[in-house]
Amino acid sequence: MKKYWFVILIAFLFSCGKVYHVAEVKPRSYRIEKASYPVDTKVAAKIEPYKLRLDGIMNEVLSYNDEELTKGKPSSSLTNWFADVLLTETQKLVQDSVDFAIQNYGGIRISSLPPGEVTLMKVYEMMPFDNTMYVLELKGETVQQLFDKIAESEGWPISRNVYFELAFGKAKNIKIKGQPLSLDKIYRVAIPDYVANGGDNMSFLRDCKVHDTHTLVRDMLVTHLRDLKAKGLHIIADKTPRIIN
Amino acid sequence: MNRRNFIKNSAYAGLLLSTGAFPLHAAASDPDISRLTILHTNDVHSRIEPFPMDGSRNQGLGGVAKRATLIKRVREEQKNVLLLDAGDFFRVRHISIFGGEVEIKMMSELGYDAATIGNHDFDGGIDGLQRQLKHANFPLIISNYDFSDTIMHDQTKPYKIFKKAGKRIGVFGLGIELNGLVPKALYKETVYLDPIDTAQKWATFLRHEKNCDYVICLSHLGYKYKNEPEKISDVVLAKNTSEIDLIIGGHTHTFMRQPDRLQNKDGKPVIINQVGWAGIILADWISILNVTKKATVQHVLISLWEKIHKCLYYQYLIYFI
Repeated sequence: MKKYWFVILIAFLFSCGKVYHVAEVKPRSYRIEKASYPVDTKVAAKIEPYKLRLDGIMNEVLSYNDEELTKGKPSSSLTNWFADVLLTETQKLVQDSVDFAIQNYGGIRISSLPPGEVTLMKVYEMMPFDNTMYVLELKGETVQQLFDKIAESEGWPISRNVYFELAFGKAKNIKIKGQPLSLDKIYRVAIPDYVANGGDNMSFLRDCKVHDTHTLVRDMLVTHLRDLKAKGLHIIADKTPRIIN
Repeated sequence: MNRRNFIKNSAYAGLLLSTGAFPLHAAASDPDISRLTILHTNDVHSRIEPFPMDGSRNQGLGGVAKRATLIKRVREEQKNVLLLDAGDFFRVRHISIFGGEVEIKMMSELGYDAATIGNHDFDGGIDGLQRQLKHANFPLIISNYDFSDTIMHDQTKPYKIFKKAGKRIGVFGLGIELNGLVPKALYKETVYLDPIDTAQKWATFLRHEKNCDYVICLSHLGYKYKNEPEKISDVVLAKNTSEIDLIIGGHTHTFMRQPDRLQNKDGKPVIINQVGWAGIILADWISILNVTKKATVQHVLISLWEKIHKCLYYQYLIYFI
């Protein structure tokens, strides 16, 4: 019996050394909304000079637009121009020939590009997302699946050299570079990472072979517009419909 | 007294505890209880200004100047506040203009106590990140990136212990695997170490060698991956380690309705929380820590039972040998 109490005593002493216990946790969260909290003026004052510098940078005139470009479905002047720029600029970054480019419709955030100066700010408004451009290797049958999905949402921005017709939510009579779609052929397609990673119900693209250009979609637009200006050219959109209702 | 009797008596004590004869929650009015308030953000992604009023989903949300007001108010109300960030304070578009200077300066201004490193914090390259550290008055805590052969050598900490209200709060940090996510040209010779091994090592160290009362892991591993449940994530981390009390997560931009409460590999509670992204939400934890020198009867009994339990294990061994 003596031994028993000895053990208890030792254990008791040890247990008094440190007793740790989280009694309760009360999580809360604050949502920072427009009218929720006043701005801290001291912090705002420190941000101000950066804002001014940023405004200066954002007001850079990249290029000129002669005619209003509008965004619409199934094809439109703005969506055509946008996808064509992506194709042209992606092609400059990769050696193998890129067959066509697509952009998700929701990714273009303005409904029209008005005539006049196109500033860097305008490009940020048009493409505020930091999406990078991928080149995917797609089998013809996956291209069919992709176009069917696009048909389901009544058309997406798609580059020159692609033509198809919408028929009851499916893509029919598909032509790529003037040739009918070949189901066994491998096509190289410029697609923003958002879509390539399965965004907008494109989960079937996740398993495709990917080449990352490490270049932002927005930067492609900026580069393109600066190049136009350097050459003394203005924005010109190809208005030929690519997806027909 | 023989061993058999001893085991029998101890088992009775265990039964008494497990039937709930001793309530586990201490009264909030207990003077030995201390409150620790943890404020945290993740994936702020250079969102200095609120989202523009452009009709998009997040318009008008977030903004550093408003967050500053909020943090100030909490600090006025609460004595023991820790302000932490779980990484990705940078975003490539801002890096290209100010190099990340504004983000770090603002975090310093707001009084961040620590941050860990996210994959996007390499957007300006490891050199770009290192250049901005001079503007930081808080440490970058990262335990599983080995920067030995890089410019960041000796510029981060594997852990830090904060003393709040007489309690020791241990914080360590975990980053995501960079290979495949960030171009090598940006992260250079940074070596990624296994998060689970690293976490266990530092959590045990903080708890037992540094006597921390509360162990926090700042993680940029991501909350969980539905399609790849085996992939290392906060959930996987929580279940496969011990000695971590709270995982403050990031990377997956998860807006959690409520924190995830899981059991660690020892069956003890571990909590995961993450607050979306862009500084839209600031999380505020009040953890009521009950760490007392004047141990109450119930604690002594619980602790006693644990000790006996361990002893029993060895006793059995001895008994059967």
